[in-house]
Amino acid sequence: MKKNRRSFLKNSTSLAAALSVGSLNPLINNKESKGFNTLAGSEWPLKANPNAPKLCVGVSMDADEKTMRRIKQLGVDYVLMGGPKIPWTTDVLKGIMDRFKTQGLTVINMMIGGYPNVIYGRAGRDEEIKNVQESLRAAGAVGLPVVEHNFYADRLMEGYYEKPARGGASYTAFDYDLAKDIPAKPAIGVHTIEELWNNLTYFLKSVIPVAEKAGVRMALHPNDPPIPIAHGSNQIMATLKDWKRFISIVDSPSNGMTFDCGVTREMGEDPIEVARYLGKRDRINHVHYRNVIVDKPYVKYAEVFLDEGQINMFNVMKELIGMKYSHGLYPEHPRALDYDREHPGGIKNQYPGGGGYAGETFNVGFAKAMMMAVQSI
Amino acid sequence: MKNNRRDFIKQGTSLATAGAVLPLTGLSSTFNIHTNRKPANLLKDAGMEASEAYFSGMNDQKINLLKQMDVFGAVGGINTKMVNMESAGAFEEKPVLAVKEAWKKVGLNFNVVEGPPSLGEKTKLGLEGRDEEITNFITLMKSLSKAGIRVICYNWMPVIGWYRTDKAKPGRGGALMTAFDYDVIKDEPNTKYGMVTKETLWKNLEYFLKAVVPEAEKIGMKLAMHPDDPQVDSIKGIGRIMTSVDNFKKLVDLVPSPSNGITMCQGNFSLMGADIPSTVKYFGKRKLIHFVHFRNVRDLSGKTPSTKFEETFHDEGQIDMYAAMKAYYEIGFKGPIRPDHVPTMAGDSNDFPGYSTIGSLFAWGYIKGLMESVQKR
Repeated sequence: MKKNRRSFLKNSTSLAAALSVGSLNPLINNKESKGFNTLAGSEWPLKANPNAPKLCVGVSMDADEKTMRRIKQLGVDYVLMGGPKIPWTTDVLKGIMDRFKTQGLTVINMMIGGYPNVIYGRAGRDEEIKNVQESLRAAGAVGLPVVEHNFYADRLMEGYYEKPARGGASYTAFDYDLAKDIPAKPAIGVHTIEELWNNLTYFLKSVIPVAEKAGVRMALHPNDPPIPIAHGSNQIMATLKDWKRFISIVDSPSNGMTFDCGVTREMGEDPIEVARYLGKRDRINHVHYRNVIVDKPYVKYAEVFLDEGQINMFNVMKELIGMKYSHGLYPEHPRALDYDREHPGGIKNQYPGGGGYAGETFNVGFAKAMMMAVQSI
Repeated sequence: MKNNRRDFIKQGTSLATAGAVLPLTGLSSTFNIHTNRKPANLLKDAGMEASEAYFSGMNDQKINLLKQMDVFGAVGGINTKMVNMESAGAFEEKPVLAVKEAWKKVGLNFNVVEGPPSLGEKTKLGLEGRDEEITNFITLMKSLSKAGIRVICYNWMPVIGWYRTDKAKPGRGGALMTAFDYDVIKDEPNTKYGMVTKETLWKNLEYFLKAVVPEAEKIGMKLAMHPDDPQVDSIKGIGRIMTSVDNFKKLVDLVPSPSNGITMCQGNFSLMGADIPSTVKYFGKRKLIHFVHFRNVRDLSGKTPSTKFEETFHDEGQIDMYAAMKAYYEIGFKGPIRPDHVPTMAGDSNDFPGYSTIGSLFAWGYIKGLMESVQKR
């Protein structure tokens, strides 16, 4: 016993050795070794691996200390958020990032937006572009690594509906039939494919070189829902062909995407193949980790719990870790759970059937287990 | 535009069946819809009975939440008050059946009695009246069998059961952990039972097992001994015997039977200095793991067994949880498994330390992730 006791501490970091056959008492750690899981080649407990995805959650840039503590309790060290109004300045960005830093949280991604003239190719877009360029320079100066963006003429939120899930939880489901005939808003009008591609191209050619120089990676989120026409206008980031075209417009790692395995599957594509395609070209600058059940690609599907959809979430994680993807990974779109429904303000979610803190807690636990499992094998 | 829209819907419906390229709309599904589905042979929860403890009674919020987590096993005691049968003995058939039914009504499967009635101090200390207790215990087993409950989780800790010196120790982000430090209580006086030696406890245990195991075997009841928690030498003069792997081997050898098994409480076994996967394999091969407490801990004493420790989140303790889950899967464990203690997280009260609702949610996300991962490597 004495002997065991002494060797325990040393060996408490060495589970794998005890797995070996032939030790006198296979149930006690009585063999020296460098660390847990040496068979698998990884240390236990797993330390932050610079070559692994950074698990992150979304939060408001005005989050109070209590909210930040909640995130820390989940064992999450990285956050993302919608950025301030453009143009961003180093002072404002630094102020936000420092505030999170006091609670041990690193801001790794801010969403940029607020440039409608760019999207619609209207007068005034050059000034908006100047504001984005300035923002990217500020981001680079304060060490914000990723800036995410969107490109929709008018996103079709009306196709979403709440769908009952297990035990009375809810899915966020989408049915194109619910919204396909909704016409364009007069203020927005109808925009063609060519027009939108031209506008996106103009934007990318103006801002990506600046991002590149600032050391910032931009991540374009695909159109979600990935239907081809929303409010009468075409969507240009709603097929795999579109995605491939997008990354070729400016050939730079700064011109990357948010790889959303959920949207990928919504389009009927294989998330593994697509991750591989984008990863090989170093274009995955952010990841949305969520699961879906698709009835008909593009037009009818439901966003479900991570543990029950059609996507093999383990293989997705394995692929990302295998390619040493090391930017953010966001287990997003929590399902609506009673816990959040019962707490005042528990659900502030733009999606019908979307949840809050409790749903996110489950998602983070699941994603953590996947990350750990992949790194253990 | 009109045309496109109509075409799109028609073709959208055919996308599921077609892997074909549809050049007219540009909507191609390059991969078959089924390529990334989970394998059909994937076992739900890796073949185990996902279960949760309800020691504070039928908490509606928790019940609803766990159903939404797809967790349907309910673990608890027999509370005659719950079924308005306070005059009956909790071991009798009527209240047991009523309790089972009450859980069924809320959609849960009451599958483990943890902390069985009619196994008290008299039996464990060998006092007068123990035979009556044992007779009642045998009646309880028969009652449970009638109700279809197959597992009894019991322990051999008379007078002082689960014991912590701190139930609100700050963990990450200020979450509250339970903790134990033997130094805090080492000078406390003995209880009114004075010194109780290990020999006495072993003798009484043997007496109990010889009386109940043959009866249990007849009806297929599974007795699952829980380790002493904390697994220290003694507390307040009362010895502790279920504190090492060797003693568990001794336990199962006292009365060899498929009914004389154990609760694999990872926390305590790890704090004994045991390697979890190989311990699981040892008892698992003998079909003697009847129940699993899937939790994580951190030893702070450097001693075996640990005299100072804290109960961590599932993803941050000293146990390689992936290797542990893999071991259960590999031995073909099909029984009930529950997360056991979790830190109390923001948004929950600490009224029931170790059983925070939101903490359980995190644990379940993590556990479900592992259950999926171990089948996919």
